[in-house]
Amino acid sequence: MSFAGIKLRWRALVHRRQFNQEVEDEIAFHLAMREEKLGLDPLAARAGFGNRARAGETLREMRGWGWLERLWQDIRYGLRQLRLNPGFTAGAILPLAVAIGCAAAILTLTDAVLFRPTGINNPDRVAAVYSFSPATGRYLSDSYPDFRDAASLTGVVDSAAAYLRVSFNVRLNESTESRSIELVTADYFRAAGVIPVLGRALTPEDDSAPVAVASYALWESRFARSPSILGSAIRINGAPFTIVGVMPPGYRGMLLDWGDPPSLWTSLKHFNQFFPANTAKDYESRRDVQMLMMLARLRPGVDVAQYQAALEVLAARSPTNPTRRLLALPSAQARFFPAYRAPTIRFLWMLLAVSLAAVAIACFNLANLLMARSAARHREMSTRIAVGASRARLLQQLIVEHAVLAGCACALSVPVAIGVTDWLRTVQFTYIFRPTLDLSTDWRALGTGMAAGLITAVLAGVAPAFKTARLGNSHASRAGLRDLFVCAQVASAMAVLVSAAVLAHTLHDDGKTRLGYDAHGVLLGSLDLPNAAAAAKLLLDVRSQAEGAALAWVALPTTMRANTDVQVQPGAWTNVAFNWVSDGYFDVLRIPILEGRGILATDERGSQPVAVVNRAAAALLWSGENPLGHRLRVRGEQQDREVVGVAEDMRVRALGQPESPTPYLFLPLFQRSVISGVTIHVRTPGPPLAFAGSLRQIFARIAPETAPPIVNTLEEYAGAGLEPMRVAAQATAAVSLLGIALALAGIFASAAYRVTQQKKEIAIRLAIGARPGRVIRGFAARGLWIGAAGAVAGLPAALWGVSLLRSAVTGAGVAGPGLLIATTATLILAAVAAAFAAAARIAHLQPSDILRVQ
Amino acid sequence: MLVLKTLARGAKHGYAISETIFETSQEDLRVEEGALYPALHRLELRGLLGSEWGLSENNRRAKYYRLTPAGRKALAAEAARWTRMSVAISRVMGTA
Repeated sequence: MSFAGIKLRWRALVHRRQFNQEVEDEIAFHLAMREEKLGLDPLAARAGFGNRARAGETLREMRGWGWLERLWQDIRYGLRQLRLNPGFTAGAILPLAVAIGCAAAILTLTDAVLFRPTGINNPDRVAAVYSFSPATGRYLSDSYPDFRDAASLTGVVDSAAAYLRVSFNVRLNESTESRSIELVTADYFRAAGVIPVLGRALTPEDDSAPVAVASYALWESRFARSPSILGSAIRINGAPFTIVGVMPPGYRGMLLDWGDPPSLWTSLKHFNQFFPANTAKDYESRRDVQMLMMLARLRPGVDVAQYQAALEVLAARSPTNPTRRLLALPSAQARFFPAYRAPTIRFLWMLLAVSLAAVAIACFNLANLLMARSAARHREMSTRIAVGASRARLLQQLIVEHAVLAGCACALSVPVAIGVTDWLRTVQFTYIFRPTLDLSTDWRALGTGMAAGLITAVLAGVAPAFKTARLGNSHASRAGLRDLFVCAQVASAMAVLVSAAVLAHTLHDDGKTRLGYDAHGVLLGSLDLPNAAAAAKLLLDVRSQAEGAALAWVALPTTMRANTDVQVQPGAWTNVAFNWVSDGYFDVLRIPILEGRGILATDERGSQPVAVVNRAAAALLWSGENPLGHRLRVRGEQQDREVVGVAEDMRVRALGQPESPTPYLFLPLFQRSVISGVTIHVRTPGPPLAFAGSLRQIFARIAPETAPPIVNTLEEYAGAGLEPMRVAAQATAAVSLLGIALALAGIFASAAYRVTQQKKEIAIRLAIGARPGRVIRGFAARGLWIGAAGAVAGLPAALWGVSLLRSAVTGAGVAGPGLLIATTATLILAAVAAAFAAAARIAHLQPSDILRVQ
Repeated sequence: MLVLKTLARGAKHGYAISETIFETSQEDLRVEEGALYPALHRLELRGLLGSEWGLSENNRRAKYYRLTPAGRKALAAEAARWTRMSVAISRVMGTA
């Protein structure tokens, strides 16, 4: 199309009336000239010219926009159709919008967890390095000597770094708050390849200097993005530091699941200054102090497999711990602790499958509704074909109509997607794995979800469109196709319903199992304490106002648990979970002590080192023998501990937890060299959260310089482990309800349609003496067949869904035969009921009336 | 090409164009009116013709077409092509 052409067409479009007049004028002038010059009468002049209207039409069409204009016409026609049938529009669009919105939200979540860049440069050249214990199949963090080993392979490694994320009190502009901080080795920013947006990154020269780098979020929230942040003085745990740089906005640390994203980075060399009383002062030379995460930037052309090979060679040469080896993972697979990767991916898969099932259900519903409408538009299509419309043109128009419909659904799905994403943000959807995600609205994922939804919805409209445009087709085949769609709806609903039932059953069962402790009426407060004296004072003060209180290093029922090696006989190390707890711990949590005693106030520094084990640990370490009086050695400690008590096992309800109780070791908190970040467990007289104010007051008196405690109820905290199951249960239940409702509506509509079509036949049968009940039964039987066929067709998908569910949500039950029979029967009964309800009006039919009309 | 040629000597309205072709071809060629106007409009859309409304010799409102510079160029090209073509054809016909 030339420029002149576009200009003229545009003019014709904008000044349509004027242009039409000009065409008319031009033809009229020509005819007038003919009349005049040839001396013809008007009729003869016209006869020679040909069809005048046709000529004008040809000229007008030339100024048109061709297919573009036809498309626009079709779109306007489609919108008008939607407006004229509000019931149809709502029934078709709303389920589709909800389904597409949910799918887009799940895609956003998946993208944020697995794919969204973490802000590191050339991530394919970065490897994360973990210690791995082949015996137990567990990933562990690294020691400083591990870091030296991994960094020593300069042939393949460009730069390597180790880091530790901790939470400290940071004093910024006159207020103190708890902030996440990463202590990093000198090459950290080089290895991560992150370039600061302001100032500079930490360099090897900074190693012992009191300087720190801020995150973009901190710069934005506390410095209003003012460049004056450079050189500003802050205090980290009381020590003065200067900020020298700001990281880019996308960089939130390498790991998504290690507490809050870091606000500050400073050198690991300050470790001993931050933890003056720690026992791991010599961590740089100790292989048993495994507290670091590690990353390595590889040289160009070196891949992770080559690096792994180099690590193996190194391990074979040097006398390191043979029970551990270093494992390098591509950074894309190490966005969170590797052990959580597989269950997390499976969990996301399950959510994605559920949302896809919802989209499928909505599309079958759409196809079904379009089929129904195709019957209603039979007359319209006949008329159009009669006045000369081609089938292709009609088909094009119908497909555009469906696209308009799907487009409206997509537009409506945007607020749904944003809403669901907001909701997902509030869900602590995993427990051990608690990612700090950037769940802002992600247009990439949203766009993908909507494009997929649009395509599926338009495809769903193709078969009905063919049916509509191809006339003379029997009603029977159309009705048959509708039944097929309804069947598919029932099948999809069945697939999800079984999973929903399994989850509901599991959650119900779980509510009945004993946890081994009493979470009811307990308040948790996580806080930072300056020293042991403050801890003792805090306990005393809180106990004066509550039924009981105890401190623990990590909160119960801890899945964020610490592990350590213990030995009972020299040389035989065993890995167990452990926790440092104060006296009163077992009373506050009401954990039964089976043998001996719990931790007492007299178990303090300088007294006999003791330990309490749980039943599982006793069974593991002493094979069922009474462990009281036995001794054990915790790795890294100088003295044996005496076992003074055996506690009952606790059940930890969380994603990825084994069914059997974890062997657990309790050590006296006040025998620990350092007491800083702890969780206070308070058994409160009234509702737990009502005590939060008192706790904050007491704490503010004891440690005015530190951030106030973060409180939660133990019930909620303990229940958070079931969050994935609850989310899965809610999602599957919602989708299966939607599916069932739409399938039943489909069965009802299909039966009602059939009754209308066969009115005459029914009337004749009634007239010659058939009982209405018998006729109705005939229609109900149809519902039975549809329901049964759908349910049976859905069974394999349902079983597959349950297996996916079981792999994604640990602890989910199985789909037993009883449950399968129950769900199948429910669906079939509902299908029969829907068909019956639609056919019931036969009872009120008067055969004579119908026959008279017909 | 014929239309472009008739307009080479100045703007004309549609009827005059068909008359000119009819007369100058000594009544051998007659452009069908049904085809003339679509052809004019097509040339206009391609930017080879311009148009404006004016008064005809008998004082009626008429649409006058004229060549644009692009039209003039196209006419020259077409004419050259036609000459080559007709010479070639007559050579073939002459030798046969």
